[in-house]
Amino acid sequence: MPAKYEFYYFNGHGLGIIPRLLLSLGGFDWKDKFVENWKEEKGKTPFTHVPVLTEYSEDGSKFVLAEAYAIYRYLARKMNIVGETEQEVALVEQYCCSWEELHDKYWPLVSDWKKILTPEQFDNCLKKLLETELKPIMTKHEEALAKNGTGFYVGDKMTLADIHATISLPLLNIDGKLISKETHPNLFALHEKLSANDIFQSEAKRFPSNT
Amino acid sequence: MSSHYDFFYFDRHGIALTGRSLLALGGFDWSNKFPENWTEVEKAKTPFGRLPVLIETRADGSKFILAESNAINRYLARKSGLGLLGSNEDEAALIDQYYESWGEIVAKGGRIRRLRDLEPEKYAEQFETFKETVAIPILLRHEEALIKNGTGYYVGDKLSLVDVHATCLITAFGPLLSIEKKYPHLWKLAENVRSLEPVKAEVERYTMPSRT
Repeated sequence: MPAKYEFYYFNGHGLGIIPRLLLSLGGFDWKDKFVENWKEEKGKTPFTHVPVLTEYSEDGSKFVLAEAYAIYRYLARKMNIVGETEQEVALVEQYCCSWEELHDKYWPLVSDWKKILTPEQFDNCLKKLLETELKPIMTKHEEALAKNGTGFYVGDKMTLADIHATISLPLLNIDGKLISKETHPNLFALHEKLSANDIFQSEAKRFPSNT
Repeated sequence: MSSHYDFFYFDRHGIALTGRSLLALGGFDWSNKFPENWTEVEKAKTPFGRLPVLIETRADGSKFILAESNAINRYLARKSGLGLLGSNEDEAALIDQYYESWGEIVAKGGRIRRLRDLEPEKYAEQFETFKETVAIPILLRHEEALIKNGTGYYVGDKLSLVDVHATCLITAFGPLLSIEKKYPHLWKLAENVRSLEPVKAEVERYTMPSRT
């Protein structure tokens, strides 16, 4: 009998959407556990954060895993969507790491740093991030997709990299203006193809779209 | 016949110590490649305009090019044949978990360090807050995890990727985060791993910049 999974996170998407999507797409037997009183619960988590994935096996044993990226790689491996060969696995990770890096730079800037910097400093930092990192790197992703030629990042089927891009593109295409269907057709086509999937749609709709 | 690896990065430690240590530990046939004209010439030719990049030249002459330090580190760990990703799926996930947790400390701390130039006064306060609210609680849990595992390693009873990575980060940031004073098991792990000849050689390749 397969294991049961509990995904512990806030009652909203953030980047929790990626593991939730994998749990649904992968047909895992899973449920959400929502944070109710973070101040109280924080200290009880493995690393003072959520998400945390708990896997309950048939024999009653429990496996607890923290760190969003470790969680989604674990689920992706179980779903066999991490690439086929050693090199494909590495490339899938490479593209995911690249998206992760952009998220890691963008969200703290528009939340924590915004409170610390003057409006002028913030505008300069944001402009620099968008022009020297977000846009050029998303362009490199576009080129990689075009070069692979199958509509997917790696090989000829969907991997974690494609899912990551599909989620990340609308979040990081700031105001929908940084890149477009005309300038980055392959990225947009990938997003359109994957987000049309029923499970993507239903998972996305579960919470209001937020950052 | 095996591949040759070029580790393309700047001529300093930066974020490269883990990758170079893995290449050395794994007995790979490898060499450093340093940029000669990064901004004008080489940057545009890399997968994402960034370093490090790993260039694997295979026996048949074909090349496999990989960017992103974490993807490179995991690739080398897998290929090393040293079981650096654990003995089973669960161990692999836990090694990943601890590795990512370190990544969080580095990413958040690094962001605040960059404030130093923009807002030096606010930086000092922010860094203290970061230590109290992020670094210390997380490092405590790493220390507890090492104690609980009881083997001197993070996961299982042998060296894994996160033991190497933690060692490299502790070597770079230990004094800044008072690791020797506060987290003896983490410190001991780093000392043990640094005593391995290949790691020692890489650590000593450059003087670690002093960070205060």
